[in-house]
Amino acid sequence: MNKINWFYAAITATAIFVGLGMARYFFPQHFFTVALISLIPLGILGIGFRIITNRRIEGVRNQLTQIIGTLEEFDVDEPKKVIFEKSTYPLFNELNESILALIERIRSNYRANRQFTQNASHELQTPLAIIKGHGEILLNSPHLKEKEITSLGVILQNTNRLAKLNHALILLSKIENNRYSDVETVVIPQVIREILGNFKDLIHLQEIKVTEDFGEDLTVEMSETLAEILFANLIQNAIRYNVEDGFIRIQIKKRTVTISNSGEVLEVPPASLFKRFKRESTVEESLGLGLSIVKRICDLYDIQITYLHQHGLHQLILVFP
Amino acid sequence: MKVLIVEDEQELLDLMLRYMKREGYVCEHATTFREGYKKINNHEYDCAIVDLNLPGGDGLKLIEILRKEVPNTATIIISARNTLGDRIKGLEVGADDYLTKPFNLSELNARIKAILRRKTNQMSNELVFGNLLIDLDKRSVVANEATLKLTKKEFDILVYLARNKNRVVTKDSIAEYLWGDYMDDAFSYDFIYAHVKNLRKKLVQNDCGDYLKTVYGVGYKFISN
Repeated sequence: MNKINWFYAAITATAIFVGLGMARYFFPQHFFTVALISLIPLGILGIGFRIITNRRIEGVRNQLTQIIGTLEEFDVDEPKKVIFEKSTYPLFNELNESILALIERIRSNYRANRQFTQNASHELQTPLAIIKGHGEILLNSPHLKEKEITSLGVILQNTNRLAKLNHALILLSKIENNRYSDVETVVIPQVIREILGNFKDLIHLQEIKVTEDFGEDLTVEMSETLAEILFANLIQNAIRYNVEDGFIRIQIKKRTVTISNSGEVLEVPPASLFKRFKRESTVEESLGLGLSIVKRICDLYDIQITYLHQHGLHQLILVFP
Repeated sequence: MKVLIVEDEQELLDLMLRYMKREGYVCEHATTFREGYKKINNHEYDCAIVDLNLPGGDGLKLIEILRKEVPNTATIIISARNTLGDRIKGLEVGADDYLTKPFNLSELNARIKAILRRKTNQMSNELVFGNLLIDLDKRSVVANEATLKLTKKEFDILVYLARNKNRVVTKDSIAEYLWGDYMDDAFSYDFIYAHVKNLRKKLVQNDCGDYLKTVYGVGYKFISN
């Protein structure tokens, strides 16, 4: 649009310049009068032209802002229909139509993808149950040798791991699909105490010292199930990656929960821990999904999560909104 | 003891039938909603194991009917649906227990026995093995006339093994029986190991150590003869 403006301005200037030259040549005495008379309508014309162009530009800009606004509001997860206002410019209507078509394609791909993950994990349940069951029956047949029993044990153990992994995947996809939309007032210290109680024996077994420093009765609006899963995962990690005679400190200050624990020095860069399947390789058999589940839950409720580690001191800091 | 199993997955059905028959139950089965409906209308069962996703209808309906017409029947839901909501709905309708697939057969077995004991008078409240007596009501264990001091977890493990006597019970299934899906495997193994060690020590002190056998790398076995 600017280029066109300059183009018109140049033409107008040239016309004025040529006009003035001719006036000077033909009417040298009345030059100023002629110049004034010819300049006024030209000026009016120019200003009028500018106003009209500006209006058009403004209109175009408004419609573009509207489209951007609609696109920014667009959430592939929400079923809300995307609506564009009808434009006076056919080109914009065309643009809107192609955006709508694109959105429809994205949505249907997204739905299909989601459905697939869900179905796949679901369909895995029955075959896993069958393998598990047959393994159990085989394990109890009378004439097995020790080696065969050991092999069967390995098969069963790994089937179980698969089943748990599958459970975790189903859980992740459920969180992603917003299946935990029930929100209630959760008292965080209460949740933490309950979980510590569940793991009491294990904490005792490893002779880990636990200190609670709950200054505030922090309450959060979230799904209680997810709150439990969140803290169970974090506390489990604090126990699992701990050292013998180690410690766990849980501190609540205002809306910040800090879980610190002693532990080995990390091999994996801390940021990558939240990605699926990343895990600290020194501990066998961890599923590596726990922290991605934690991350998902934090994203869902805008909880800021930071992980710090130095010289064997691990710190997980959660800031609730 | 008559048991009805309603499950449309043939393989899984066969497995459960085999396991239950070996436990000495008289078993019948149905693979569709209609079949299950007919069976519970025409016969009485001590226990019904019902899958939720059935061809022709929802297993919950069957549980509801059973609860109304034959309230004495012990009912267990087995389902791939594993949200808390599903569980609560199942128990609200009146099921006695809810197991998520894939489950361990030894766990199903132990739970059925626990429910049958609660609901019917046909099951004894005591498990007796020679000079070892487990009282399920009092939650006490007497070995050679001496009462053992067991922790809650030790008692639960002992009962679980005793209910699956003469069978190999895997560590995983003990973990699931005791803590549900809550725990990770590697994690719980140490835990179970420590508890069983203590339990065995207490049994050995009272000359009852022979009952508890370790199946190396796999799990444990309670032997009674």
